[in-house]
Amino acid sequence: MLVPDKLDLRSFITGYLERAGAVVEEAGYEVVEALLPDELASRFGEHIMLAFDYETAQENPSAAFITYGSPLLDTAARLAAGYGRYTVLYCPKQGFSQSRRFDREIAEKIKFLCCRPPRIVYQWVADHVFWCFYFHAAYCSHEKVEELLTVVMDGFTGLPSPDFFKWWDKVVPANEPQYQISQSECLPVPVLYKAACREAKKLAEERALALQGQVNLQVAREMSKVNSYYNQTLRDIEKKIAATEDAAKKERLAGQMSAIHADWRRREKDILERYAMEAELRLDHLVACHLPRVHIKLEVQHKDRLLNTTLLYNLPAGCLELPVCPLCRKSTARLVPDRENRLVCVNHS
Amino acid sequence: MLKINVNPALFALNFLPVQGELKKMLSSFAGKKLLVSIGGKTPLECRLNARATSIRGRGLRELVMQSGATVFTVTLGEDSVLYLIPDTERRPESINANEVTGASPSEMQPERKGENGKVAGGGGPGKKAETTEPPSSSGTGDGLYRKTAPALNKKAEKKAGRENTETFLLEQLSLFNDSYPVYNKAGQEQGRGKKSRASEMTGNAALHAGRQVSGCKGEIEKETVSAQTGAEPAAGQKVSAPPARSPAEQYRKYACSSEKAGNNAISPAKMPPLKVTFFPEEDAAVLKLAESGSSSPASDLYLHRQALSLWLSPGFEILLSLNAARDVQLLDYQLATVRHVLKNMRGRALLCDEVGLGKTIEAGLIMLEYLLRGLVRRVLILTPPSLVEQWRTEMQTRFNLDFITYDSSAFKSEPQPWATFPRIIASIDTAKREPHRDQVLNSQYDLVIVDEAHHLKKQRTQAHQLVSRLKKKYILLLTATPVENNLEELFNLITLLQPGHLEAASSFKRKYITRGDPFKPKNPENLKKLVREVMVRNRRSDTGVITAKRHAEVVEVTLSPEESAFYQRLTSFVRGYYSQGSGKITGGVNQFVLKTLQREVGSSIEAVLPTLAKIAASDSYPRPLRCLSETLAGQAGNVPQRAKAAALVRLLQKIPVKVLVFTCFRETQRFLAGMLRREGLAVAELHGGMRRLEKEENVRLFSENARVLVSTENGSEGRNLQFCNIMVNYDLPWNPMRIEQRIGRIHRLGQTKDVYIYNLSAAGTVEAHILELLDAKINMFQLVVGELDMILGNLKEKRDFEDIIMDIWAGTADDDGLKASLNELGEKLIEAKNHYLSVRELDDKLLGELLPGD
Repeated sequence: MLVPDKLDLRSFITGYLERAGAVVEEAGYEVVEALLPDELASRFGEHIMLAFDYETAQENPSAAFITYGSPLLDTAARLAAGYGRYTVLYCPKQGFSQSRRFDREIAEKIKFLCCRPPRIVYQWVADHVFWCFYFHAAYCSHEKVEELLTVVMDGFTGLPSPDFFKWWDKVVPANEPQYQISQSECLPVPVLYKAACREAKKLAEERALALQGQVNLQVAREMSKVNSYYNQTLRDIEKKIAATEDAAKKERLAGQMSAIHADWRRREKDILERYAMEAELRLDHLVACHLPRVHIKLEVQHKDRLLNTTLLYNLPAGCLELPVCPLCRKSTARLVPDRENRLVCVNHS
Repeated sequence: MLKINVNPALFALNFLPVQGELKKMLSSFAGKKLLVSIGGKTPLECRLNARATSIRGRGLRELVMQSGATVFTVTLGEDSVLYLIPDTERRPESINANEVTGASPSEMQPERKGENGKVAGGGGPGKKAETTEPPSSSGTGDGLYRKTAPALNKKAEKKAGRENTETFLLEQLSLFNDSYPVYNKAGQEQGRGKKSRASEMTGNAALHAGRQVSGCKGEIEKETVSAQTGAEPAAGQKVSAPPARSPAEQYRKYACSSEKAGNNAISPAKMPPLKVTFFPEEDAAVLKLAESGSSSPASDLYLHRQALSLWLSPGFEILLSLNAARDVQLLDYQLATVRHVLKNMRGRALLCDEVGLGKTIEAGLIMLEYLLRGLVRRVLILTPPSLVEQWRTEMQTRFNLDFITYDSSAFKSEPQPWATFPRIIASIDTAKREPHRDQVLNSQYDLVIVDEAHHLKKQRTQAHQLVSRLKKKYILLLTATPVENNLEELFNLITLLQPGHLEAASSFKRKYITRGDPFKPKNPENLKKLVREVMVRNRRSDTGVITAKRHAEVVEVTLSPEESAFYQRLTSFVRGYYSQGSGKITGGVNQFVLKTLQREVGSSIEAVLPTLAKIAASDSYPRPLRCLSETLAGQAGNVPQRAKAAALVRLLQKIPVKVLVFTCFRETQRFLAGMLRREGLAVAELHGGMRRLEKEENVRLFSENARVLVSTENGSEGRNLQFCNIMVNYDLPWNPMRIEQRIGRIHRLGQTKDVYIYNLSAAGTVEAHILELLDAKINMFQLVVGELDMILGNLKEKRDFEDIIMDIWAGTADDDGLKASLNELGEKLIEAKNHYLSVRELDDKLLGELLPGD
């Protein structure tokens, strides 16, 4: 979940105005002056002065004071959210060396059961894309909680990569490609999107359950209040019925009880519905992260058969990635050959 | 007995259709008034139309819907009241002709001969009832066909029915919980629209509406007696239905279920399952960008993320305001309070921290959280008049928020200020009076903050009525002493937050107030539970607030003979023109000018000179006044010594560390700065005429090289000066709260040393008398932060303290009279202080019981 950092209002507003094509200049301490392009001029005027500090705003009466809650800030935030919905970032060029000793690392990390030690046939570097799907998640119950849910999909394997940011955050990405290598295969974005949605749904469900847990106490409290009120009311009517001999009155009171009971059920249902959790996920923006990975083709001998498999080495992360079982699509460190000459995880052996 | 189905969709048109046997029953009332009782409630006055096809009555729709039933047993009482008993257990489809007791259709319906002489309507003994088209309006229906919906225009029926039903149900649901926002069909809050849940309420309303409108199909139930009984009724045979469930039976059923429900607790299994919704059509726009390769630069991504941080509303466990607030050093208890109010109390809370613990900060943070999340845009802060300026300063310095005050010229010049300005601070005394009251009540506010909310403790006061009727989403009541006389005051305050939370006044008294001891709660455990849901109280003993003590000393100054003489002459001049209690121009001079002159001469001759010169030079004043002013100005210029200034220099020579010198007036400040520099002291200055950067520079200078900072009150607003712990009041404001605010510049959180306050007091001046009142009578300088305000608030005098002093000073001709009046004021202050102390003790005891620290 992305936690918002402290936002410098001035840098945000000036950044947005410049992006929108305005000419922005400092006009004093915490005061900026801007000439706006036509599309913004119709909204804010052609020439505006903005103050970001209350004292400065008092010193400059012609400047609009921008703070949280200002209409201009709200509008700017709304318009700025339209930028940057799809971005491509590239891993910077580091001292990538293809001549690493992968065999040792393979031997340490991955076990090929019932096989001789694998032999590296050849290896090559290719450019891979990891697709970061940022979903705007809104959890609606009696209150609304919003956050960004991130799902990173490996474009090559089509699998989610939950640990992506552990090493990507240590990288300073570039806007342009820093190296020229061949592109690896990449699954189509719509396919990855569907897989990302499945993953996002799981994450959303976990989060929603956690939020629901916080709410259960309130639900119990409200239900208890409602039940206590209606129980008391019904008891009062029961007493009145017991106390009266008038049949018409008894009938009326009985009618009242039925109405109260219906009302009670309605209230209970209303409370449950009100606190029920619903999650809405919308794709807010997408970032494609390019990084180089080494493909290592291995030859593994099992009895009289030679089996091939390809492992991936993540160069920026500096680690060998666990292979994926072709049957269950889960990462595994232990592979075993099956009858169809595939290397599968031990669960399928 | 007769049973009818009622289609709630009909109530879009607000009438109950009358058909078949019901029509027969009511035929004698055609065109007349008719009393209708539903569910045993008070009969409603309705009217049956001339053709006896419909009953109309105001409130009829609501009563039917409240009953929750679509099937009713109808009886016509001997008192000519039509009784409709709801039968919620029966579904329309279970009704069959066998349940129609009484005469057979043929007996009930008079034979009508058609053109061919035959009996029309299909009645008649032994005759098999035929299914026919819906009976015409002439009423030839044979009663065996029971329509579940009239043949209305379906479009109008659906539209009107759904809208009106939904609107009605939304209103009803809003009555259940005063604080629960009500949404319209578009999913927006009625009257406001911002980030609200899209369809929950409408979903709920639709659910309820669904219960009511399920029969809205315009179908005809075709039932035949033979179909139900399997045989044709014999001639003359009465068709008797199985006995309907009697009310007693219904009651027994409900009693069982109510008992069963008595001990229930919500089990998670009952909650509807989680629903996760995706929006692939909307997402396609982003995917399209990826597929076409139209990427944005990283700077755009950064801008987007910044915008998101303004848009996203994370859960309240993350406080966004911590990053947005300035110069706020939050303590743990304040953070906990803010989270608690946001998460658990949903913005409706009574903040009852002890004085000086930062209720203002807490309220400000809560407000900022809502502002940052877009949940609040319009804020109204109601305070006593003396605190308006303080709130404005706090909001600006700590939260960088611009509030307009009710007494500013911009506010006064606006025709509809209460609706125009989004953030207002106003005196509650002004807001509750006309012409403001109407405007205030007509405007909608997202958040209302009421400071010193104990003034709302009586339900019948205008202030309470005003706050109760304000249109608001969130409300915070701030008071250190919520209860003064009895527990009912607590009830009145809590009812402002959550009406019905403590039930009705009578039941509250019965359940929770001990007769004879209005402070001792009955059922304290229950009351505690209820109170804790809406009230927060932090105590000084539980928190680590300002530990530095205050020490005050009066430095007596004897004015030189010339100074003293001039002071007396000016005082006589002021007394000569001053008219007690009048704000108007008297003798050509404004009372405010006279008060200013008197205050200025108490500060320094340098302060009074410009004002005298201005009066002397201005043609708007009458000539005698101008001559007098000119004379006085001339005399002032000839006064050689400045006794107070000399006393200040002597004092500063004794104090080797940094000293903050306060004065009210710019001219005095300028004079002192120059004089102290001539004495060889390194001096920094602060005054309201400086720009922000200059002020920052001077504060930095004071923190580093300068030994003395000479400042006006305006100049030091919002500045952190707690690295200094010694203060000199060169002159004294007449408003004690301003003295308190001066002290608060250095006696605040972050001050590690005890604070020393030196008050220069020139004998025979107004300021000397004020000091005598505040220091000697109520020990003002030893009070805890915030207590002075409580004491002044208890003064029965509702006027400004400055005006009270001015009236006494200028209104008495001799010293004896002056002494007597000041003594009287002193006694009132002591009484106010004692009252505050006793209330504080009682509240400590009561709230300590109801809200033990945890």
